[in-house]
Amino acid sequence: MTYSESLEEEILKKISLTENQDALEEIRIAELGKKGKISLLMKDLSKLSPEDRKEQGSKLNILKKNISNAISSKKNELANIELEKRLLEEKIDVTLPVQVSQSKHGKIHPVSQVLDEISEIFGSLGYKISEGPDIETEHYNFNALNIPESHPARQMHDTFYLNSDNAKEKHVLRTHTSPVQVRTMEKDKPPFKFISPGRTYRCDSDQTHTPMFHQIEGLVVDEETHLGHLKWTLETFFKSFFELDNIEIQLRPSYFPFTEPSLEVDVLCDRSGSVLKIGEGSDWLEVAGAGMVHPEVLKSSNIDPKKYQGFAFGLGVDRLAQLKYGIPDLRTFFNGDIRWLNHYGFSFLDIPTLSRGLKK
Amino acid sequence: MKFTLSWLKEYLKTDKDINTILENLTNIGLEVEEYFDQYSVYKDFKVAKIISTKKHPNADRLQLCLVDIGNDKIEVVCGAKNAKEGLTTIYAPVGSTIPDSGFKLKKAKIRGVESLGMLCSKKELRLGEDSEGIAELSDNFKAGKPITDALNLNDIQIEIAITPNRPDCLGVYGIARDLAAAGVGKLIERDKKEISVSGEKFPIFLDYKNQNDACSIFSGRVIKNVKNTKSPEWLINKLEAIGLRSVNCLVDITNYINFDQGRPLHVYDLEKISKKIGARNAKKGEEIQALDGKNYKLDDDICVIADDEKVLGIGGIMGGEYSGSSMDTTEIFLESAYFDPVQIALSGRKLNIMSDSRYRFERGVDPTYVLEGLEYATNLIIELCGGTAEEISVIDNRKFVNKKINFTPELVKKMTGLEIKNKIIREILLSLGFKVSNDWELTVPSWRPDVSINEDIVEEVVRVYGLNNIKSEPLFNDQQPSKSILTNKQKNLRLIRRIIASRGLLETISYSFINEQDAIDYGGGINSLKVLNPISEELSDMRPTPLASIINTADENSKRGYGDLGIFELGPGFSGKNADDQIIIASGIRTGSYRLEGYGKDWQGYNNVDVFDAKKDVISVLEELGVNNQKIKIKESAPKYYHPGRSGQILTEKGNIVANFGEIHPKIIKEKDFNIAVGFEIFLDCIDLLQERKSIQTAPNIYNLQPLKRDFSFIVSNEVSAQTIIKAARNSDNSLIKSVKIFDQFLNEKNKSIAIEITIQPIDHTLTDHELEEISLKVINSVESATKGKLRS
Repeated sequence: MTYSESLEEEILKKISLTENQDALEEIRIAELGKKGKISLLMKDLSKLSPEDRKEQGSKLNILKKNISNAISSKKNELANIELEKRLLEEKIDVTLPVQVSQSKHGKIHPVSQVLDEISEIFGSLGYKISEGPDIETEHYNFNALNIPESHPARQMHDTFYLNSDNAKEKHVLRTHTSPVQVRTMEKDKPPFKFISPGRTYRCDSDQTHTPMFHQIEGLVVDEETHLGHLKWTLETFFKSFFELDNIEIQLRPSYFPFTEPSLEVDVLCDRSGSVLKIGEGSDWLEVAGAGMVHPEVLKSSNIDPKKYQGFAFGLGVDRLAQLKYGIPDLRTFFNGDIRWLNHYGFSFLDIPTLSRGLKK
Repeated sequence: MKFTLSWLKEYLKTDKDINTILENLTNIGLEVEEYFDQYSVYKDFKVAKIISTKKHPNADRLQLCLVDIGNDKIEVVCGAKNAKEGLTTIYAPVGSTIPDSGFKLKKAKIRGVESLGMLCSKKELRLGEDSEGIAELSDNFKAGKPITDALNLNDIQIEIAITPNRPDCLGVYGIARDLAAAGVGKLIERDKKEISVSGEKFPIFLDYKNQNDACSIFSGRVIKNVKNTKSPEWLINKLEAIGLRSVNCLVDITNYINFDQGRPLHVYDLEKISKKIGARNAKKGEEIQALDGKNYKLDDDICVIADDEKVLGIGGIMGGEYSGSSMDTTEIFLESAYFDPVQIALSGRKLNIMSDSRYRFERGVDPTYVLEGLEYATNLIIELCGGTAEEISVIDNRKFVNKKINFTPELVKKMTGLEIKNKIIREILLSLGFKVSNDWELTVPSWRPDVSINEDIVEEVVRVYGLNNIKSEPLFNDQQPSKSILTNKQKNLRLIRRIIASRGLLETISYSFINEQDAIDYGGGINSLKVLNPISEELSDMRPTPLASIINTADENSKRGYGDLGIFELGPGFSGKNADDQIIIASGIRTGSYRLEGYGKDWQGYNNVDVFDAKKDVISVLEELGVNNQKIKIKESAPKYYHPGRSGQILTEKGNIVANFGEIHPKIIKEKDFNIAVGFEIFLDCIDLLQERKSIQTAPNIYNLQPLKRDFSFIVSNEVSAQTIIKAARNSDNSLIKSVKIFDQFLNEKNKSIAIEITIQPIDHTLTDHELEEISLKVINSVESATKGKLRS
């Protein structure tokens, strides 16, 4: 057998007709394998004359190279066809719905969010946060705050009492966060500047009262803080809290046994529409109780009232949350209805800061 | 405290309009709670006379009334039984608003017949409590006359909130005095008439002994030949306008003076008094039927009014039924006394009686007005009921002396920031009834028991001067920009809240009290944590853990159809009454299939929650807070409200509880609407100790050499915990073994096979085969000896 032009054509044709990789491999062995046609022709070269050998040799080399290229490109082509076929078989229905992590369904309760907001504001004004127990002695809840046993103000408080095994020290559920004033002051030395948020309790339950609610107490005691500073502090707070510049507040004389003078604080609002608007209109809404710390309270905390003075104020946290976020019914705050929590709750990523703004 | 504008004007000469008066009341601390302008409310209503009635064609209970309304005769549908020919009543035309319901009348067909307006009951018009039938007026009124004229409804009713420190404003006169001080008008003094007196002093006594002098002034007089009658119209109207019921003229007079002057008085039927009258301690076991119809058992610290044989009344609180005046009374003893506020408060609370008299005495009435009040009442009684007054008997142990205060006027500026001239300060104090000496020694008026220190005077001054004049003054923050204000515990609390929420749980806030059974189930229920006066039985015990609250919250949601849910609460749990017994616990619960990955049926398959979902929540929190997990260990099984075999407790090395987690005990959820719940409790107090807070980090250990992994499999008894194996493997070579992971486990009846993967981090040289062999041997030996198990061959 000798080399002929037709041989190349014949082999290339065979390759091009091949339909699978196995057949192609058979062709490769039949042509290029050790005992393949082209290998045998190469072997036969030694029988030829040097001139013929040279000529035939170079032709055979070209033939070998062409066939080899043709096989490898055919191999790629067949591999691609096979891959495509397999991929088509692997098709799945990508319209099937997927479950997403529940993380975004977690929410922060509006009271917690508002407490974070309030802490942020007072923190920026240099107030610390001081806390006290929910179960208080009558001493801290009343006596130390200048509310002796017989005081009519005790009745205004609708106090929850705890079972007492020794009558000497009666315990109550604190009716306000004011006991923290005394607890904090007696542990340290003036000046003081702190807020105390927390749960408070009163034996009262109707549409606008729940037996448990949240208060935040603020206290500043030093040698010269007066009512003008209190007014500025509350104005500054409400502006920052409601994120409004046009907050207007009004002070009204009132009475708390633990402050003297005592006053109540109203903010200007508009009640004419379906939603109450702060900072507009001509109605007043009571938002805080405040006053200058009563000398007796300072004395109960071992502080000299001749040298030190200061103001205290109390805010209803739940009410502030209601006002800011338009939540109508106080009772819904504490019944844990997940539809409510989902609706009024805040994303865990929504961390109030002053640089960002308290609201997202 | 209720009063009317016309009543106020008896004591206040003013040309100010109603709005100015209302505004000023609030501004001086007498907060206006409500006001009711009768003219604007009643101007549309007219007197009407029923001419004739006939049956409604379509309704048995309704009548068609032909009504004369002065300028017209119209037909009105009426359902009242008392609507009959000739009745004079009140007509509300179309377009008027019914005061009680706020309903605006429109032309309407009632069962097919058109009604032009309606006939009203007193209740509908807020003119009384009577809702039975339509109003029945005197026939003297002409049809068509506006009821504002006919019934004299031109006044304004005002209700103000009086703070407990202001007993002086529990009478209309006192309110006028305060308004006059604020410049709203001029105070009009009451005319004082001389009384001609005959007869003798009635014998009285004052014999109360205790720590406080419950009754320090007792006085009274006899009035004979009185004729008790129905009160005159003006008196009835006055009392009704402030919501008081007219009883009889004598009683009405004392009630009137109570509200007019803030001076409680009492009238006794002289016939019922044996020999003498006075105040003394009650005797233990004595009883009295009071005017409220209730029987009260008395104690010896309660001050009673008595004659020489029996109790006649509870001093300063309420008179007795027996000795009170009636229409037949002709001779009376009129009492005026001073009772101690503290003693009245204690007695009132002990007996649980509220009365207008107690209300005033416990706040402090004017001790110098005892006799004047008595004279005032005597005058009125003689004027309205006739009679002759006898001499006044009086015992005064109090000998009242006005308080003196050495005032420092500079304090006004120091406490309020207001610059008020001394002259103005002086004027304000004078107008409030203080005497002011040249060197600022103040004499406090007898009607102001609340004023005793300099700060009280400052309040009086700014209250009248106007709190709204106070100027804002910045309280500069000396630490700008401020540093962190939170303690580590406060930081943790805030972070934990958001970490738990990031795991898909909703934050709830529940009441700190729960019912008794729940308290017991969750390890509480002790006696000292029971609320004495709970708002309901469901809220009777302070909870030991918020978990107890939120399981019920979950249940309520399940009952609404939301059975797969996750909620949490960060709140207090109580183990005793002391401040230290209250701890903050972060509790969470997942029910049904509520897992972080998703919940509810799904084509990719779904599972109910299990103990590991709760454990993941806990571990996520601890890891995020930087708790060093070398410092904690896990104890199998948690408190009794968890499934004993599917719960765990995370402890510090010293054994303090960091957290509980697990399946909630099947007994606890038996009654609930879900079939499985897992929960956790993280105790915040412990966490702070386990955290490493470093502001400057040491350089990280980044090795150039590749870590190597080796797998081992051990057969151990089922009793051996995974934690034991991990610890043993980990501790076999602390310097080179970086982590140990369990990647497989097979359970048989007695044994289990646990497969672990060890990660070895070479530090300064590539490990030789020999060295690796040594590490492997150490792992095997350590695990085998710790577990009494065997390497699986």
